[in-house]
Amino acid sequence: MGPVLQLSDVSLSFGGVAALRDVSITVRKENIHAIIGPNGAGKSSLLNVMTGVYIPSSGAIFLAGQSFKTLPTERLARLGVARTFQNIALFKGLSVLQNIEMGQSHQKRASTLEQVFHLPRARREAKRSHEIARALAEQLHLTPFLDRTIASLPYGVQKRVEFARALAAEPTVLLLDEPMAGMSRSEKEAMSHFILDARARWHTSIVLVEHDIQLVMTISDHVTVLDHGVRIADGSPEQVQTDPKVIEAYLGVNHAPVAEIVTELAAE
Amino acid sequence: MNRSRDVTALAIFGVFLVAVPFIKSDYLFNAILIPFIAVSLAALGLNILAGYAGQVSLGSAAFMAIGAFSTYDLLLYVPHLPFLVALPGAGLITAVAGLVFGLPGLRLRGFYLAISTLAAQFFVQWVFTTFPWFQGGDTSGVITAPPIFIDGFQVSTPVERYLLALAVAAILTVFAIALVRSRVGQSFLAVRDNELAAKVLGINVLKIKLIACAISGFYIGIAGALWAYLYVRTIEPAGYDLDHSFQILFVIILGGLASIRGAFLGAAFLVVLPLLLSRGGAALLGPNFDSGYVDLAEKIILGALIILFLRLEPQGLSALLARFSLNRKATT
Ligand SMILES: Nc1ncnc2c1ncn2[C@@H]1O[C@H](COP(=O)(O)OP(=O)(O)OP(=O)(O)O)[C@@H](O)[C@H]1O
Ligand SMILES: [Mg+2]
Repeated sequence: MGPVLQLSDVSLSFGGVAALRDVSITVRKENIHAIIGPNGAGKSSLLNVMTGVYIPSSGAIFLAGQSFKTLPTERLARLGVARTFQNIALFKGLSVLQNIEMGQSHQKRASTLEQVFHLPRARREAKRSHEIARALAEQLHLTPFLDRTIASLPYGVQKRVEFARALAAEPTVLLLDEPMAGMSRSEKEAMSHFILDARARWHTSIVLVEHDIQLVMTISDHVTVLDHGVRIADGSPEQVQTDPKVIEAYLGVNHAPVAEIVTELAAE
Repeated sequence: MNRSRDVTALAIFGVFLVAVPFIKSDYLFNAILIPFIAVSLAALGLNILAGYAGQVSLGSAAFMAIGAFSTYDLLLYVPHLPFLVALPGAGLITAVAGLVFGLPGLRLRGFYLAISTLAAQFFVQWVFTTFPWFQGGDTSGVITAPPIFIDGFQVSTPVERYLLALAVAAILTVFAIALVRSRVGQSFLAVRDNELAAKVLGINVLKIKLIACAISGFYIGIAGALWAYLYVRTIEPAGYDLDHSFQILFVIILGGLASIRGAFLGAAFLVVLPLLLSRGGAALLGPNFDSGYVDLAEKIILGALIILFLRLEPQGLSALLARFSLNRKATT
């Protein structure tokens, strides 16, 4: 299937540090596209370029049939892109339900006064986002938490709320920065199930940054490997996990025994 | 739960209304209730900007001055303009002033709005003292507030002035409650809590901040007009200094950030504290009591309380009250 998001030869640096060097990536429709790599490889930077948070020094980005030098962050949601953050970025002053409803922000047209005075258009929009949020909460097993404050929730649940908020935007491309970090094995399994389910229901294309290689290999259609800002491998999970460069990046050379364990794990 | 809160808010205004015939003392109206309402509205305005939208302003008093002078100038220069039109008109003018001073600060993050509103504080006072046009050509620096007429009826006694203030406060409070509950109100909190996440969701962050700034200006402008016309009954730039701006900021810190009733609780505290201190001081020290002590004691107590609240209860009196009523519910 065709590409929904494409980066071509994107470079980014912070002072002297090159976070990304001529990275190209093609995210295809309805794919789960994993981005892996050691700490500091540039995975989050890549997502930040994809959302206009960082401005690349060179390269181009193709999204929704248009070409961009930098992506306009505030217009992204309308272009069909939603994301989560590596460090949870929920709104602490809002309840779980309100946080999820916020995902609908880009669809709202009612003016401030229409909203304050509960005029019909604002009421309709509020009703719609309420229904979407409730349905998502139901699906992601968040219903018992809807009225809770964010701070009172365990980390794993907060991650799920942020995922729900991103889905509430009804995105065509969803960028997830380590959505399973810090989760238990069973929580991770539930989360991968939710991700697969989202793709199945809404035909969403998903860019997934994740450290758990085994998990990545089981749910992804395509894997891109970064190391020190350079794309060192790109292909199907099978191609990538046998690539010597990848094994080297993860383990350094001359670690054959450990490398075997990793490949075995991945093959499971 | 929202319903019950609405009822509570209405009930409280009802009590303030029903109490009127039982209050025989003009002093209570003049020295406590009227300034309490004006300060509450100013605090409500600042809370919308600072508490809800997270943008700290140090220029509240300047915006109160703009509200007061706009009312005066509208009535002076626009013939036959009713007071009840001039008042919201002054609110709108202050809202625009809020945008003008807010814009340079809001484009940048954090600290810059504090700086540009601080600049407003000095600039506005300078303008009103320097150009006699604003004072109708009077150069004495102090203008007595002209009488207020509503539909031919003159609002003059303390009770009448109080009722006018109460009516304005009731309308603005109902609007504020609807505002903070609406999606705009939730977007204020979203922008305050995480600007980047809000942006990614398609929230127009600058627009949200500007809306907060304008609405806040509207409230503070009206509060300033009420302060000038109903409480001090003079219109002079001197009353609206930086000290006053800080007082409004202290009110919302003590009362509770991002809380409507916090603005009222904090204002009640600020208005009543000096009176309690002077009564208490006089009772303790008898005739030797110097009223200069009150000022000093007030500053020390306020300062200490603010540090205490910021450390221990950042949600202010409003949260203390909530906890108190929860405990009561739990025990009964
Ligand atoms: N805002 C920034 N300012 C300066 N340097 C940055 C910034 N963001 C990232 N970097 C640098 O860019 C490089 C890539 O960082 P990035 O966060 O993209 O890595 P990552 O692959 O997401 O790592 P991790 O797995 O730890 O999340 C690192 O060297 C990092 O220090
Ligand atoms: Mg990262």
